[in-house]
Amino acid sequence: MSETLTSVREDETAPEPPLPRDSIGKTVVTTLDECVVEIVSDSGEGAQRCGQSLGAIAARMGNGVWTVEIIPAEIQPPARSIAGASGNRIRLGAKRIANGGDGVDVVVAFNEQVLLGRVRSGELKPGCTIFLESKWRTHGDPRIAAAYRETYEELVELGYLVIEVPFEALCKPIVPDPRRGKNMFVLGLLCSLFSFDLKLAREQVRLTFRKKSDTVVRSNLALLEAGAAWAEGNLDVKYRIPASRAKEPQIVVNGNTSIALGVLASGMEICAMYPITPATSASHYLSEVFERVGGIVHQAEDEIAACTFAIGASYAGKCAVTITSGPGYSLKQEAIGLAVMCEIPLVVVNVQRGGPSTGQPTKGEQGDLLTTIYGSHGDAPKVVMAASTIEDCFYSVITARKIAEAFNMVVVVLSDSNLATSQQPFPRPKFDEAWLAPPIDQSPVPFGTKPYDWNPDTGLIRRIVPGQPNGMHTITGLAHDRDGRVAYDPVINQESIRARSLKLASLQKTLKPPPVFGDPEGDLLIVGWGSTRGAIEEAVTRARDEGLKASSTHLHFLQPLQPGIKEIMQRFKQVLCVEQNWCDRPDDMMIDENNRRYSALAMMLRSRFLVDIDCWGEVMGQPIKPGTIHDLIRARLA
Amino acid sequence: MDADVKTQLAFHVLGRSPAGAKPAGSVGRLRPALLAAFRDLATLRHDFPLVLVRDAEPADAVQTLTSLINAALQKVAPRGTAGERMRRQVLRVEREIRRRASGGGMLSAAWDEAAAALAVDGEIGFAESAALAKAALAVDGELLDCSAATPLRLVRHVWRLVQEQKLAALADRVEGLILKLADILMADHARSEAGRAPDALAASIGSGFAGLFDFGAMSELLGSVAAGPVSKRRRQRIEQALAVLEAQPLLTALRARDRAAEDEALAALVVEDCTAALAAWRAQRPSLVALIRAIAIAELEIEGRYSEEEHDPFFAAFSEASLRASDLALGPDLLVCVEDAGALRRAEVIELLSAGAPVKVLVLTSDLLGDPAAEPGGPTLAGTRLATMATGLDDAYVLQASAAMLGRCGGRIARGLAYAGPALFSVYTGAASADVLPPYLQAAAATQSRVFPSFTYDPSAGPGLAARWDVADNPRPDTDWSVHPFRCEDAAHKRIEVDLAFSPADLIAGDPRHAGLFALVESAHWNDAMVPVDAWLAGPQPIGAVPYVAVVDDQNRLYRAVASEPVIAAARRCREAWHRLQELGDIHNSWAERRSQAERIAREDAAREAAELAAEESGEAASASAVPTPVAKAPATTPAKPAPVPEPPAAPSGEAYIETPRCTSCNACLQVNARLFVYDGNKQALIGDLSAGTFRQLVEAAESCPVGIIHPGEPRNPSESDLDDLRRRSKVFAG
Amino acid sequence: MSAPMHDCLIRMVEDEHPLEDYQSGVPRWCSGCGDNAVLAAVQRLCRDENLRPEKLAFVSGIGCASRFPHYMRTYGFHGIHGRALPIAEGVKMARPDLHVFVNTGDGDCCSIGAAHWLHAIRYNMNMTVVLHDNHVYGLTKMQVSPTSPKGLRSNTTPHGSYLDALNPLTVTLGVTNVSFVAQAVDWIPEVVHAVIQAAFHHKGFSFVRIIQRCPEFLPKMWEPWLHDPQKTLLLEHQDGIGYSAGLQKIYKNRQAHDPADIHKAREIASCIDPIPVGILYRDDSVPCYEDIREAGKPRPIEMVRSGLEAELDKFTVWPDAADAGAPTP
Repeated sequence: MSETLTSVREDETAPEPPLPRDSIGKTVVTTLDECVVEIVSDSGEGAQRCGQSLGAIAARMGNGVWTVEIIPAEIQPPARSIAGASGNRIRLGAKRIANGGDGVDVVVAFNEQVLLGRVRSGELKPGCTIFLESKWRTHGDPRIAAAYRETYEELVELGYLVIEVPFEALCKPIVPDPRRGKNMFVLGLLCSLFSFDLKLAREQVRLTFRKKSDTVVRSNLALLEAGAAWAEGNLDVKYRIPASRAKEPQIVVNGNTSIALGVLASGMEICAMYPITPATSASHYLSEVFERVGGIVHQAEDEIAACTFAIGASYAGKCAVTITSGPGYSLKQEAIGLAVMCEIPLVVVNVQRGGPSTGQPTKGEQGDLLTTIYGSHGDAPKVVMAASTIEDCFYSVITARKIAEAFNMVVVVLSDSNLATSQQPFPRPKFDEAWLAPPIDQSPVPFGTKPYDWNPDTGLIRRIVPGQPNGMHTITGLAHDRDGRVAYDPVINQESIRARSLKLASLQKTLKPPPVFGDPEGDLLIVGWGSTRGAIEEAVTRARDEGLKASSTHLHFLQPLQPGIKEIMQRFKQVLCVEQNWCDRPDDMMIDENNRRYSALAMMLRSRFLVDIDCWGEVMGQPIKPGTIHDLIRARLA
Repeated sequence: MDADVKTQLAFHVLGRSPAGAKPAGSVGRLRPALLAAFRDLATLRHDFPLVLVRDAEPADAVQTLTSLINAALQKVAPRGTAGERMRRQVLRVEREIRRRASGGGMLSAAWDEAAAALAVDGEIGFAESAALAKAALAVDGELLDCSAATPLRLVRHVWRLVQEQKLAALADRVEGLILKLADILMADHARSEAGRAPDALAASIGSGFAGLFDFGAMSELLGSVAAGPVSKRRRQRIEQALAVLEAQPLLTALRARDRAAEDEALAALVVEDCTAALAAWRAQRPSLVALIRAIAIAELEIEGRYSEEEHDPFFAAFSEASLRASDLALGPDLLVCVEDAGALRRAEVIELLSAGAPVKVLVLTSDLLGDPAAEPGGPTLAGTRLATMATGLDDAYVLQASAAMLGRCGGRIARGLAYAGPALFSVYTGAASADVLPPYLQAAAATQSRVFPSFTYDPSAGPGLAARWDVADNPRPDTDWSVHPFRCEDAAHKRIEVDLAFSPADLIAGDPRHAGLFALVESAHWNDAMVPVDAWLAGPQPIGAVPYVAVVDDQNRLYRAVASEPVIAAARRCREAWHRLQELGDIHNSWAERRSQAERIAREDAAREAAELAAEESGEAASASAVPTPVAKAPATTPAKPAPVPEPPAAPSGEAYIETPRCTSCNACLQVNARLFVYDGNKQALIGDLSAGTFRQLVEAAESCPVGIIHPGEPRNPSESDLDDLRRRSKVFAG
Repeated sequence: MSAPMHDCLIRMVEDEHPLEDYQSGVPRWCSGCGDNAVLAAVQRLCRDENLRPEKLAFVSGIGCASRFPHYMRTYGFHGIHGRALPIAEGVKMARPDLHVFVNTGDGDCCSIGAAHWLHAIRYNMNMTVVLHDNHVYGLTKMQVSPTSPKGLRSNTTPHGSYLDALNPLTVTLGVTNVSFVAQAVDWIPEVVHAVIQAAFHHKGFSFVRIIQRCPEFLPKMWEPWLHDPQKTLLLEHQDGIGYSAGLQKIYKNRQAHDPADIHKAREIASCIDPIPVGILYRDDSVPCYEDIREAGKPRPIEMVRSGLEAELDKFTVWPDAADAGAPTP
């Protein structure tokens, strides 16, 4: 390695390394409250790794961080295509950050086409700083060179500050394939730009490449240093985002990894799944680590098999989880009904994506709420929870298993593609043995114990597991009596449906009202669920800072609903559901009071509480921006 | 009778030293003539050194260097001249290792040293050959030369592997039980009031969502279906069993892979004294009883099948008396290693083996013949009887072998060590008379001469003696003696080759303590009256014949050593003992021979009678060739396990019956009349109470039977209506 | 060590189970239905092996045959149409200590659940699977099934069915990892019992097809075979099943067949007339998925804790880089 470095340094053809400049006094250090950075490239150029590393370094610095993956729908989209942008958005802040923010302040782009994609979709703030790979300007193909120049002109025209950087040329002296190395160069550049501690950056690089050889680690460190040095020498701006380091250890993972860690921690032993975007990465990570703690990830032959496999395992005593996304969830519906009917505890994770049908596999949406609550034919009551943060993803699995086993119910945990791929630090969980309890119990049951001895008040039953002496019985998806025998008696049918329904009410009695973010009363209450929480609360904060009387509440339990929601709503003049699913726009010509379709949660709340709840939603495939909601609040309260 | 013969005879009979003969002690060290060729063992490709293979299955833990190298060469040496060169080069390495073997060490290290030492010659391709063959060696392990210490080190190596394997399985089992017992308690806790207390519920959900719940309300709710707690007695029982299972230091060490603790625990199990072993076993037994009791209770509890009514009294009375051999085999085995130091020690060994303890006893014998200084007279052969005595215990695994044979006994030693009961390994080390022969040759001679034959008695191999006894691992197990060609030169330097048998007399002749029992006769005094000892023992000899064995002195001068009567007596005893072993090992079985003799006579008698009868009837003379041979029983061609289904009973004519084995349990007939037709224990139909039904029902059932196996017979009640029609319909089902 | 020592202790509290101990409720199958023969054979197996009822799990899908678990006094799971196999796989994976049986019909297994069937063969989990093949949908009142003979007039094929029947044996024998295939006909109870017994003792996915009569919808279909013993072919081999003398007297059409021979097995499987019965194929060497995945391995709390902590370590940002606990790459 050192040999290569020496020999390359002597290579006269390499561009001059930037000379140290006496920039003290010339570099302006601007203090920012927050900043949104994006790194975009073709697939395989390491932009995602660069962004994740930057986020992790910022978290180490003590900054608030939220990272969002920019993922093309195809595995290998054509190079230099507008729709092929791959990379990462990193929102850095002085305080805790809970969403990806509004517009981008700084972009690093490895080609102008992928950048154009971001510009066209309105992601860039006016005046945004752009670092653009300049090698295309002199590309051998005149069409490419022309396209580059044309775009460059356009960007300058639009008022962006475009800084052309020959990234690959600068990396060439350090690594043989600069296409793959420039991401760490950029990381160094950005660390310098944001005045990050290079020591932390080095540690992060070592961690990132811990599975690679020493040579790889060393060359990446060299790239990092070179990037930082280049920035020191060539830029006359620097930012500083005040940070306060957490007192407790934090973990930085995305929502899917968080779910997988939650599965580890929950004491479950079996995860049955079938590949589906965007849920699969949770199973990928779980497959890597589950066996080490005695767990098994079973990739079944289809979604139905995955679900029924999990049901079989749960029936046999080991509550199992199946992780899926919308289309898979639809396929599982019949089996979920079976678990409901047989009162088998089961955890289902639905990482929602755009729908209907195949919809938008890599994009987020909150479109599955009603199908999870009301799906499967007949009256099939099940518990539905939603994670609203990365941390929620972890604990929701533990909670879900507990409820599933205590109530012998199906518990669906809703996440979505926004949470799945976003990273945010949260306090490192402190393991508790109680998470794993109760273990499987093979103690004999007293003679005469009935498998469906519904408690008349609560609807609860005591679970009997195969292997328990004296407990033999057959469970069935057919209507059945307290012994589990097929019931031909209409009264028994009604009694059993009542009991299964009653369990939801029982669970509801153990829940507390949702907290209100902001004042407990005012002019406008925004109600949300799931991944929109960060954006809603940020928008509410902005509005309140302007003196508007807006508050919000966020629901973790969608079925049963937490108590006290009606009382909360009644303390506000207006109630607005903000969701990332479709609701008709009242100003559309065809839409009126009689035909307007409300967003999912609004529909539920309206029907339950007879309160005139309005709704707003969009299905753009990307997280709703705080600014959008802020505008919404202002429009309502102006 | 010439003078030589006379004096030689006198010596043989009276032990008086003859004129013209030298006393055997007078020419220095003698060795049996057959061993004359083996002056330098390093050049001999023999079983030593052995390799004590690491991390092997116990049965494969002992290999000979020779076999390992053969296997390696088989793998890598090509055919043809190149392969031949490689083979030669590798064999040189082997020889060099053998030369250095007394130093011990790992095979891989010794290989490198030997190869380096030989590489100085700079022979073409040597380094490559050596490296290639080394890479092809499948295993590595410690080198073990033949010495007094060999048997113990070898047995201890295999013993350790066996213990590790056995105890690892037990440790896994115990660990599983501990977990499952703990699970019962944990599940009970989760069900209990404490387990569903609000703070316990909060802990079980974790900090993330705890704020959403009213755990007081949840606690109350879950109480509505809480199952009863585990009874106090059951909890106590489980906790006690857990305590015992967790307090097993050796198992804990194995579970934790704590090598040092394992070494220590295993070292404590190696004892060098029978009395101490017995005491150690007695001291160990109560904790084994406790362990087995805890395992049994744990397994019952885990299955939810502990019945206090039935099991409490059983476990209250559970004691050492309740242990069976398979139970005792659960725990670790003691390894006892003692020297055969006389009758008292042998009695101790037998007592230890019969104490019902799973002890593995290694008895080392260094003197087979007995010391005339201590016990004047001929060889006592006292050291050769222990193992055969032990086979009389019936339930002890017994292996006898000289140290020279140990390289081939690895598998059998492993089997003995894994045997669920006592085991004896009686080994002759050959190491006391090292001043004459190296231990390997001495031990090999003891095996060759039948003084210390190899055998195994394995009570687990089957109920019959033929299965239990194995004497095959002896030279020429089917004959009295092993016979070898012997080459020498006579006074005229003419090469002579004769066959010599190796007899006990040869072994005795090599023992300087017994020199007085031989008189050396130089070739000048040899005569035709001299008969080799084996021939002498084989049958009556002409008057005047003298027995001798061929021996050589240090200068390789050949003598005939006239054996005196005590030598012959000892040789005869060895031969008798060997005959018994052969018979036990199913060679020349006297019972079988007697039986076949009797059968032959009976067959001949029968044939004669038949012939006579035939002759009487036909009036012709019986021809000898007409003897009928018994017809061999045809081998069974039908597949195994025919189900014992009875033939359909042939019912008395006129009575209704069912071909029950063909009934498909379809319920059709029972739906007609469930008293007339009933199911047997296999749920197949037969006629129940004929008086409970009508002939009509019989016919209708027959008609509804899908496989047509109901036969209504004749009507019992002649006054039943429509009988004609029913009879007509029932005809289809007749017979 | 090999003998569980508590066996004798358990015997102290437990007499052997008579057949009735495995019987629950009164079967509601039509009289004359072949399901009864299978039920009797399975109950005999349980009694003969003295299987503990609480250690048995019978899993089924939907259809006449899938009512089977209701008539066993063991643990049972009467699931949804076509999904008996994945449910049973989940049970076995979670609890390798249970004996798992699957009862499935020709519609359940070969039509709606066909995908699961193929993969179940491939997983080769240790369970006994009985395909109750009566060649017709019964519970839904007479529709054509994949194994119905071509030309069958049913409620959905009033002019006769259009396609040749699917052969479950050749399909099973064509799938990777197939390890046990046997066939019996419901009207020879001795063979039904013998093949189910052999299937139970085989470690792996034991597929037993029982050719059954449907007395309600196809009462005449197997008449010729019932009346002519020559139309049944007994497969015999020392590694196969044995036949009583009584049976051999009736069924003289016998053929030696080594169950290790898969090519011959496939050839025999494709034979429809005479019907081959006995063991067509057995391979004890195919590993079981639950063993490969080490299902049922002890899982101490410490293992979970340390595993989780190690994973959390990977993602942890420590309050101070100098913290002792920080991971060092």
